[in-house]
Amino acid sequence: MKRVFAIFKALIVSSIRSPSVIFWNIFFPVILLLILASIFSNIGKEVSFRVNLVDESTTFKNTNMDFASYISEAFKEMSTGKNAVITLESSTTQNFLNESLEKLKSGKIDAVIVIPPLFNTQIYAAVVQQKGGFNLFSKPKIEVYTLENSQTSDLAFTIISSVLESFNLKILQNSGTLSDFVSPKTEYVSKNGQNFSYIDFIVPGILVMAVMTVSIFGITDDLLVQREKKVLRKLFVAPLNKGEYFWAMILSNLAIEIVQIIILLILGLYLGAHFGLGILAILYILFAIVTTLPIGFFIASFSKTSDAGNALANIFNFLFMFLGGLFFPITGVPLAVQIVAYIIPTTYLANGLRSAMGVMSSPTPMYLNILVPLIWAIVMVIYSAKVFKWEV
Amino acid sequence: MRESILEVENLKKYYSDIKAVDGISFKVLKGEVFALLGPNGAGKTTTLEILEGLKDYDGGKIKLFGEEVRGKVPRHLRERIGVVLQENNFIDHLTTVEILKMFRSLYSNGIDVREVLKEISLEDKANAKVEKLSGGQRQRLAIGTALVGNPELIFMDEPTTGLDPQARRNVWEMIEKLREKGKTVFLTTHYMEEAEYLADYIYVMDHGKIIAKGSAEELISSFGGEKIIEIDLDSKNLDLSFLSEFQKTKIEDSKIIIVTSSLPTDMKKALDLFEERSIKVNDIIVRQPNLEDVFLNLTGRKLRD
Repeated sequence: MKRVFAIFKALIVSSIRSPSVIFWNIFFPVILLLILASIFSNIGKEVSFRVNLVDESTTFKNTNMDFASYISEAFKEMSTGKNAVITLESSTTQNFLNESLEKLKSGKIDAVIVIPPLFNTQIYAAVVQQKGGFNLFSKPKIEVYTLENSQTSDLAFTIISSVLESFNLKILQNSGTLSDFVSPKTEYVSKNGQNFSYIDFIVPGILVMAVMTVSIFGITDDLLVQREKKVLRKLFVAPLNKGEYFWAMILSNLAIEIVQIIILLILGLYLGAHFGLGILAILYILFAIVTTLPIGFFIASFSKTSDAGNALANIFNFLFMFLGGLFFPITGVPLAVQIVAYIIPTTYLANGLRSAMGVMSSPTPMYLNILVPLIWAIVMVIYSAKVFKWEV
Repeated sequence: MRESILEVENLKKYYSDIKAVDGISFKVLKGEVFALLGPNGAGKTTTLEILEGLKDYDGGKIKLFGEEVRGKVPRHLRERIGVVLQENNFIDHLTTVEILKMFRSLYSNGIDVREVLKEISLEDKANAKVEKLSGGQRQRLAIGTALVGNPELIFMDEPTTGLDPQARRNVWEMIEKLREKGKTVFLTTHYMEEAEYLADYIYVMDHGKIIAKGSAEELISSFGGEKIIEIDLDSKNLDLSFLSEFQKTKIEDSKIIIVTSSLPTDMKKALDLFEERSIKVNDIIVRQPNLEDVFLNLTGRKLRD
C-alpha cells in the first residue's frame, strides 16, 4: 500500500506539473463546454420575440368587421400566459410607428407589424370581390418590418406569417371564400417538446468526453512513455510489483478525473445547466470511468512505441468523441454514422449519464447503457492483460 | 573466506542465432567490486539483465544471497539489491529529492534521503527537476535511487558510458566509497581503465564466454615478463605483411603494437625491417602491458572494436 501510494503521488505530481496534461484534461473540456454552450445556447431555449404592432386602421372600428382588432387580439394572446412566444407592444398612433422603427433599427425589438388605415375596408372589399368574381380592388397588405440579416427577426417573421395564415383560414371559414393577405408559410416555430436545453444536454456529454480523454491518454502515457523511457524497468527491478504500479496508475488517473468532473459540474451549473447528482448519477460517472480506463490499456497493449500509441489514442478519442453523440443527438446523422454510433460505448455512456443525471430519458434502454460499455471494457481488459508487455 | 552473495553456474542464454551467454560461471564475494569486462555485444548486459530478473535464461543456475533464482527476482531479494541501469530516465517533472523519496518508499529499510543526496553530491540540486540535470548528475541520481534502499549488492550496467572524464571520476569515487562501506558492487564495463581502477576482481567476457579472470594485476602478469612496443608510423595503408615475423602483433591505422618477451632483440629487428623498406617511423614507445593488451592478447581484437 505504501508503495502504491508512493507511485500514485509521483504520477499525480508529475501530471499536475505537466502543461499538456493540465491543458488537455482540464482546460480543453472547460473551453469546449464554454464554446458549445455559447454557440448553441439558443437551441431549445424558450424563445421570445419582441414585436411591436401598430394598428393604423380607422374604418369599421368597434364593429364586427374590425378585422384589424382580431389580428391584434391574436398577437396579444400569443404574448400572454405560460407559453408566450412574443412580447408585444401595440398602439394606434403614427408616432408609435416611428418609435418602433427606430427601436427595430437599433435591435431593441425584432419586428414591427403595421396594419394599414383602410385595412378593414379592404378586407371587406376583397371578400365581396371574391364572391362576385370581379377584380377591382387591390388585396390588403399587412406590412411586416424585420431587421436585415437577423436570425431572430426572420424567426419572428415566420411566427407572424403563421398567425396571418391562420387569420386567412378564419376569413375563409367565415366567408366561404379564399383570400390571401400574405403568402402562407409552412414553417412553424414551436417550443421544443422536451423540457431541457442544450446546456443540459451538453454537460453530461462533456463529462463523458473528459473522462474518456484522461482514460485514453493518461493510461497510454503511463504505460507506453514510462515503458519506453525504461522507467518501468527501473521500478520493477526495485521492490515494486506490476500490480502495484497498475493500481497507482489507475488511482492517479481517477484522481484527475474526479477533479475534472467537479470543475465541469460547477461550470455547468454556472452556465445554467439543470441536472441531478444523486447516488445513481455518481455511480454511473464511476461506471463511465471504470469502463473507459480499459481503452487506454487496450491501445497500449498493441502499440510498440509511445508515438504509435499516441496516434492510436487520438484516433480512438476522435472516433468515440464525435460519433458518440456527446455533443449532438445522433438521430439526425447519416445511417452509416448511426450504425457506428450504436456500436461504440460512448453513445451509451452519454445516454446513460444523461438519464442518470435526470437530464433526459435515454433513447437506448438503460440495460444496454450498462451492458455495451461493460462488454467493451471486459473484452479490452482480457485482451490487454494477455497481450500487453511490461518490458521492451 | 568471505561469503559469496552471488553464484552463477554455467549460465546460458540463447537467441535463435546467437549464443548471447554461453555457459559462464562466477562467484561474487561480499564486499568486493566485481567487474564484467568486455566489448559491446560480449553478453555483459544480457548477463546482468538475467541477474536482475529482467530476462529468463536457457540453462545454468543462479544463487542470489544463497537462494536459487530464476526469472523475476522475489521481492525480499530485490529489497537487498540496488540497480543502476544502462539508460536512466525518471518520471518527468519531479525533483531530485522527490525521485529519491519515491524510491525510498519502495524499500522497507531505506535510508535518509538527505544522506543519499550528500553521498551523490546533489544537495544543491535537491529541488531541481530531473529534466534539468546534466548527464553526470542524472547518473549520480540513478546511483542514488539504487542506494536509497540501503542495498547489500548493487548492480551497475556500464555506469560511466557516455559521461565526460570529470563526471566519470565522480562516479568512480562514489563506487570507491561504496566499497569502503562494505557494499558489494557488480558492474559491467567496456572501459579497461575503469575495471583496472575499480575492480577487485575482473572477468573478461567475449562472445558470451569468460575468457580470463583475476585481479587486474593477475591478468596483466599473465603476460609474464612481456612488454609492449608501440610504433607509430607516418603513413597508413602500407604493406606490413613482413610483421608476421613477430609472434603477436596488432596493426591499427598507422599504429603497430608488438608484444615481446625479448625487448632488445625485437626492437632492433623491427627497426631494421622498417629501415630496409625505408618506412619512416614517427615514434616508438615501450611500456608495460595493460588490460587492453590482455584483451588483445586473448582475442586479437581491441576492447572497443
